[in-house]
Amino acid sequence: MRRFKILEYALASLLRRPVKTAAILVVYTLMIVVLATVLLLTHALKTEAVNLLADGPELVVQRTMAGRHELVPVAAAQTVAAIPGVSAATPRVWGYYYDSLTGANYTLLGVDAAEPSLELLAGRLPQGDGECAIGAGVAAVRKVAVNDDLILIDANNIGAIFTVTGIFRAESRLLTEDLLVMPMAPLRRFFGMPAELATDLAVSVRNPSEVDTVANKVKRALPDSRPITRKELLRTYHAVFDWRGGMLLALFASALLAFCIMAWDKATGLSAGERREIGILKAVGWDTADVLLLKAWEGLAVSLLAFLLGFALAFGLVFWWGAPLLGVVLRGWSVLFPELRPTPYVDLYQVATLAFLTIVPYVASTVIPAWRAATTDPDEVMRQ
Amino acid sequence: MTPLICLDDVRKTYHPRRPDAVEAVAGISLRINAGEAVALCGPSGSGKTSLLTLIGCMARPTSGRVTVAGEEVSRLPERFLTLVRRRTFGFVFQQYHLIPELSVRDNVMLPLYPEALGAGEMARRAAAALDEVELAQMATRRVAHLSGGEQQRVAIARAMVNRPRVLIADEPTAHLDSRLSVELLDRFAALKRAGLTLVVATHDPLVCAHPLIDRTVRLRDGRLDGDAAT
Amino acid sequence: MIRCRVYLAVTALLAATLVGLLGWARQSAADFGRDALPAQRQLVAVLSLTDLALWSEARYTRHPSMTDLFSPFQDHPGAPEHFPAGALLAPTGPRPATTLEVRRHGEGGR
Repeated sequence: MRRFKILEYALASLLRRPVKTAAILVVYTLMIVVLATVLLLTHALKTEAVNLLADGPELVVQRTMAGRHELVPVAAAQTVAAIPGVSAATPRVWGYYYDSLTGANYTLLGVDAAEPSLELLAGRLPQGDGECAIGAGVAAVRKVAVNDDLILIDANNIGAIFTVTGIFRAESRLLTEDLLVMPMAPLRRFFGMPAELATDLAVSVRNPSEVDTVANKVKRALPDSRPITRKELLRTYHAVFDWRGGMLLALFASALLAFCIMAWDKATGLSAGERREIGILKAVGWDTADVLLLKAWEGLAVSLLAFLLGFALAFGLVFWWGAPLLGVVLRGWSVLFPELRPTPYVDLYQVATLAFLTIVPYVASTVIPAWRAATTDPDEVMRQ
Repeated sequence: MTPLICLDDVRKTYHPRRPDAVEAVAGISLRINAGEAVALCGPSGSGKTSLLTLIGCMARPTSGRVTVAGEEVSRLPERFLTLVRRRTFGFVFQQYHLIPELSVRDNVMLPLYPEALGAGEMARRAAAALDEVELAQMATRRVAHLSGGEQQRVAIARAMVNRPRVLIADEPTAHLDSRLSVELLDRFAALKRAGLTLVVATHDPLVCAHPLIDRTVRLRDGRLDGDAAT
Repeated sequence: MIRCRVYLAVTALLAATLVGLLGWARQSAADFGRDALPAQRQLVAVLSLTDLALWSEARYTRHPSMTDLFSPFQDHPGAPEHFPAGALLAPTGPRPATTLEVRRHGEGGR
């Protein structure tokens, strides 16, 4: 009962300075929105990447020459396949295509699939020459539908016509936005790539715990190769998003700093009015604990409200409204940028950390400066 | 009859062990009985206010003993001292010390927050106290918009809201003209008739000579300069 | 006590919203895992994809796990980034867990 009465008084005293309180609340909420957006988005993308790519190739073997990525001889697939523990080594053909018409980069991928239909593909996978399947982003930017024609300029600077046999569904945009899939033979011709070379090798390993051993053996068998295990690949995503999150936080660090300065200013200088008020409260019979409780409520009332509002807002921004604030920063120069609507993977630990790191310092910065005034005798406080 | 408030060789030094140390109260012994009205008279700087804060448990003496209702308070831990202050004393400060941005009612309710009272009871008590000082119709006005005399009545209502045994007033007539001063002293007289103990610090001869005052204690340089029944 | 009630009500409502949001997130993540993920993984397996199609502006942002270590530094390692996403992206190709064994010519290998 006493506690709630003191909360009532704390709210009344916050409302006595409505403009200041509103300003703090708005700035604080915005800060939480930014922090929470970055944390939610990076965590969700990271988790999604790990979950989606879990069925990718266990091992990718690339060849490097003079520090650069080189095409790998198809014959190397046999060498790798002969390594004990390897169940298959498949040469992959893929590469990039700059579309001067739209200014976008496409990723061209050679796929010889036995089964032409895919759940996330409207239509079918291309089966022969002059056919291709494209991602939703490519379809949108080139304004083509299934069975339409798509003209690309090949390595000989000659226009090649492809019939779109399938478009990847929007749900798979995070994976397929810029993809252009066709069988390997026509893709080689399109790129002008000799038939005995491939971009890299996708290797499947029988026992997942042996991937590192196999990678070591590949490195020994093909000294100029660079094996990349799936574990490393997923770790890259962890690093990438941590880094990106950190980068965004750095961008907003100035805002954060400004807020800290404000909090510090508030913390270090208890205004004469506030000091006098504490003296009055003590003189009329408030205990030190009552005064400190009052200050704690004042801090908590603002910070809890700001946290809850800010987090809810950030949640909506990230998972429902496509992160419009960060989208601009994240998009960069990408012409084909999939709509950011990640699956809501939320880390409760992260939420708790954010709450702790935003609420506690603020409450402390309101309570601690009041401490000294609250513990001295009231007549001394009022005298000053 | 044991006195309600008992001071034994009480001293109060501000900024002790510093070159600007001031001994505001230099060894005062004083007894105040329940129901008595005592005036502390003396020129400014004679230690009246410091003595009031010691009597009212707002500050602790540097040495000596303060006893309230038979209990020694000068060595009590802060928490209990606060309780004694809240339950036994009501203060009317010279500068009133109201919170200007709050309404009259909210100011009067301040001493009730730490008590185990419901919101309804708090409002009832505040209304009753405001009734006593004839300010019921101004309950929702902000204190900053009130005149000096009205502010003092708010301060009296706040002092009385906890039904204290002792009312302590510091220079109550300092900011009042003679008509308002008489009105105030009549109000004090009524409170005294209701059984309240009054301790008033003043250098106003009007107060010292008023029939409600039972005893005048004269102070000079922090020492007693005379203690006489009037 | 009206302000106190309003504040506590608002806070409780927001806290309930937070719990609701987290519950919804958990549920839809689970739904996604059950309903949509198998199809996505099938896609990944059939096309043997290795990266997300987030930044298609340069090869080292399109396939961060696949690029060679030099790609982000088109001109020299201290060069400013060409692409904004590259500025956000860690310029780290994967560091293979494989180690190089150095031996002189003529020494016996394993």
